[in-house]
Amino acid sequence: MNRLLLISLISVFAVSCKKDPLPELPEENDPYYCIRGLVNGDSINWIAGLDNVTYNYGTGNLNGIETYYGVINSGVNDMAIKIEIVEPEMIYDGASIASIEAGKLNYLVNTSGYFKLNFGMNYEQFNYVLVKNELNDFVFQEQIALNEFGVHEMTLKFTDFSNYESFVLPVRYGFEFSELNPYFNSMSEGSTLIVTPETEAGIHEWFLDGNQVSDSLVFVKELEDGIYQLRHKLKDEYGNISEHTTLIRMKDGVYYWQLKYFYLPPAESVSHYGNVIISMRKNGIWYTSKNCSINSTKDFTVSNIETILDAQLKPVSTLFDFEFGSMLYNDDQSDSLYLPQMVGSLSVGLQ
Amino acid sequence: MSAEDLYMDDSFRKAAGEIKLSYNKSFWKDAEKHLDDSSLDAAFQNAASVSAFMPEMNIADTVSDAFMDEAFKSAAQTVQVDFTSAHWNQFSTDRSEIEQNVSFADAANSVIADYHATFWMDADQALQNEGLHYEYRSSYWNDAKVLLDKSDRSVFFKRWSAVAALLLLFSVGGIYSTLNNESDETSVNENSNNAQIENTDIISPVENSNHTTGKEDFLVDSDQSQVQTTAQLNENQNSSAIVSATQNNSEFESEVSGVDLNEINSDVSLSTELSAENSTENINSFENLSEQVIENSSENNENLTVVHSDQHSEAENQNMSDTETEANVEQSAINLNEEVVLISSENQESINSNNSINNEINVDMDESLIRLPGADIASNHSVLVAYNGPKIEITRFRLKPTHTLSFYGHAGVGNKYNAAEFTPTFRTNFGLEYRRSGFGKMRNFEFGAIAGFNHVRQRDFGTERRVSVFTLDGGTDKLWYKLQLKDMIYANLSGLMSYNISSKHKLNFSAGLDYLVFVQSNMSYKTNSEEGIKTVNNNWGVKDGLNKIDLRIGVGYEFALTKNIALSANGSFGFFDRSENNFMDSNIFDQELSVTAGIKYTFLRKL
Repeated sequence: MNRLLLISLISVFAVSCKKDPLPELPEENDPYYCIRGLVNGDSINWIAGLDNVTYNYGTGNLNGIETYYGVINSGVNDMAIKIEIVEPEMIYDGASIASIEAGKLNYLVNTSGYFKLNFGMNYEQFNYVLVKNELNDFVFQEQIALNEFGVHEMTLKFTDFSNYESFVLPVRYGFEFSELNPYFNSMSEGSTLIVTPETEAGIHEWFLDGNQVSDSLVFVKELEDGIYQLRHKLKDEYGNISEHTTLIRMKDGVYYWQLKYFYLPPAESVSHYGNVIISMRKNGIWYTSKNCSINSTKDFTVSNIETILDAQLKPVSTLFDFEFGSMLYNDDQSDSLYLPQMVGSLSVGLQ
Repeated sequence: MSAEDLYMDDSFRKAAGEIKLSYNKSFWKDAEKHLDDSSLDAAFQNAASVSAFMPEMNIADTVSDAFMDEAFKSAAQTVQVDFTSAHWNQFSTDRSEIEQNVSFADAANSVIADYHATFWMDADQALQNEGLHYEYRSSYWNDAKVLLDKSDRSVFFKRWSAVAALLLLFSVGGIYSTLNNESDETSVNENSNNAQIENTDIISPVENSNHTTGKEDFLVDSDQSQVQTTAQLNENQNSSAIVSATQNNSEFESEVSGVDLNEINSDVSLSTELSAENSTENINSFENLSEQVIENSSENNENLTVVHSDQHSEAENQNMSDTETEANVEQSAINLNEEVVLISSENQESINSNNSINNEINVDMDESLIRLPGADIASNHSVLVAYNGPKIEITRFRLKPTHTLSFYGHAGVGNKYNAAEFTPTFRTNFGLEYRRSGFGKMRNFEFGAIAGFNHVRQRDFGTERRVSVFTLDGGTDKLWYKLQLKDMIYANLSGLMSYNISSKHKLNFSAGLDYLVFVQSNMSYKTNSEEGIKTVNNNWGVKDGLNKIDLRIGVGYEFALTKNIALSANGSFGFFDRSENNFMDSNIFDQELSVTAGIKYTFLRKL
């Protein structure tokens, strides 16, 4: 009996005592967002989440071109570093989101360039075109200067058509489509305009003066005399979209011309999709790499790319490790920041 | 039966009892020839005619003469006892018994056996079969010893009482004889009906050292009507005795007081003298008759205690010669006397007991051997006395070890872990201790084992850990836990060696292993940014940060208050670091050091 009582007491003691194990702490990980290096010789080591270092990411617009950026804010001295990557021409490749490709990226360095309008064989039309300048004056410009890459909207008047009606012509400077050609050619049969795209595959959408009027491969429409803005939007199988917008004139009941443009040397029609732009804010002033031609020779290396999906499995950001060296200038290029070698990890937003 | 007949019967019986002649079967053969009545009558008549004791063929006179000394001669001559046929009838009646006795005597005479150990074995087996023999047990000796002691005391008192009585009697007799010294040494009151013989001789103790005068040896009269006869001993005998016999009308009783068998010797010698003068055959006949008479008288008297010697009266010499008969007979009588006396006086109790060993011990074999005439016992004859009973094996006594089982409890102080300097913290331990005492050269040592629990109390002994986990949103989760180890309980199993300085003081040495079984701790932690801080106190589920096994060495001193309670003081230390330095984030070697004192209670002790 005593033995049974002793066993019972031991059992009760063994069962009733708390026996919580020591909790396991997760392993420490590397910071997701960090950058370290030298800025004009000053060492920085910013780790998002430590020492008030913050991070944010999103998408931006570079003269009408979507960019993906991420910004690390130091939390002190009002310093920040922004890494902006121009969207790629083809975002979706069917397997993954090719927002950023691993490897070396080129800097997007702005270069001035000129382009000239082309009315085809209707050379005399060129004499009746006025271009709106920075001063909002319509002036005759034989060649139009562009200082930055991007999509610029040129406002034109055709004096032989109307003195008060203007037309907008988007000009893509440095971001021509090469992989998904949205260009087209026009002709007419009588007053019926027939527009044929250069790329037949894909989904076509035709917009006439901003209104979608067709989604067929060939746009055919009978038009009266006038100047129309025609936009062709092409979507491939993966959802990549390219578009081209131009002006088309119908005169005397027939197709008269389709406005084209071409770059004058040394400007070339190159694609700057996927280029990177480094910017840094220091003392409230932004310094950027796109204004320094030196960066054209520098590399921005991307590795360990990881796409972050949201709850709906939509890509929201892309995480990658980077390493770069860059020279940054302020806007008036009166001051610069030299970032010889920066390493870190950053994520850019995709939406 | 007439008084004369009774007298003759008694005489014959007495003669038979007193005459210790070696029986020769030729006697019987001779007598057998004359067993028929007519021939017997003639034989008796012839014998009577030629015998000096039987003038006119009067056997009674002859017999009486044979038993009488000179003092009674005249009286015997006047006594006329006619032979009647009743005597022969009586003889015929006892013939078968006599023949049997003769046969036994003849067989005994013809067999001379040397003792051999196998005889004992056979006899032992036979006795066991009959249920008469008991295997020897050592308790028998103790019992026998008690009996012997009692016997010795009894014998002592009886002997010396008898001696004292004899002395007193002799004194009285001497006085009486002195008063009656003017008359003949013997005086006989004649009575037509009673034959009374008064004692005229003083009973003197036997001086022969080989025997005593135990009264129990002889015919003892328990009734009245005594016939006293006295006999004058032969001068060659060193003792004299008085035989008084009481004879009444109905019974023949004889009383012997203070008489040893030397008296019989004298009678025998007297009879042998007679036989020497007469024919041998008559002597044998007379002896046989006397023996018979004595036996008859003893049988007819229940109050008589008859002691028969183990040996029948035997004729020593097969070929008795007249000239040598007396001497031989006397010698044999002496031997027989010694034999009888020895047996009857000293071994009275032994005869009645079953202790055969005592018989063997007290018997002087060399002296006891009957030297039969004509059969010399070889000098180199060896008598084997062997004991074939169970053997007792004596082994060397070996001291058995003592086993003890004790419960102990100690309390004391020990070092604080994870501290550069010694800071005392609390210690307790309890358990069971087993010991086994040594013997021989190791008798001052004890060996054993200890099984128990060692409790360690600590303060500010613990660790904390913090981790920063970066999140995708650019933030950081700071997670941590803090652990405080309070109580640790180790199960201990050690070997023990103890040295006994004295009966109360001991030195103990132990070596064994500690195994961590229980740990009580407090902890708090945050392991999830979404959940808050959690705290768990008095928790028994964490053993992290501690090494489970340690080697413990102990030295102690023990003082025994009582047989079962002892006070002890012990010091012990461990060999290994009890804490995991990596876990504890410490470089300190946490070696266990403790000093405790307590009490030990022995609740089991067994040889």
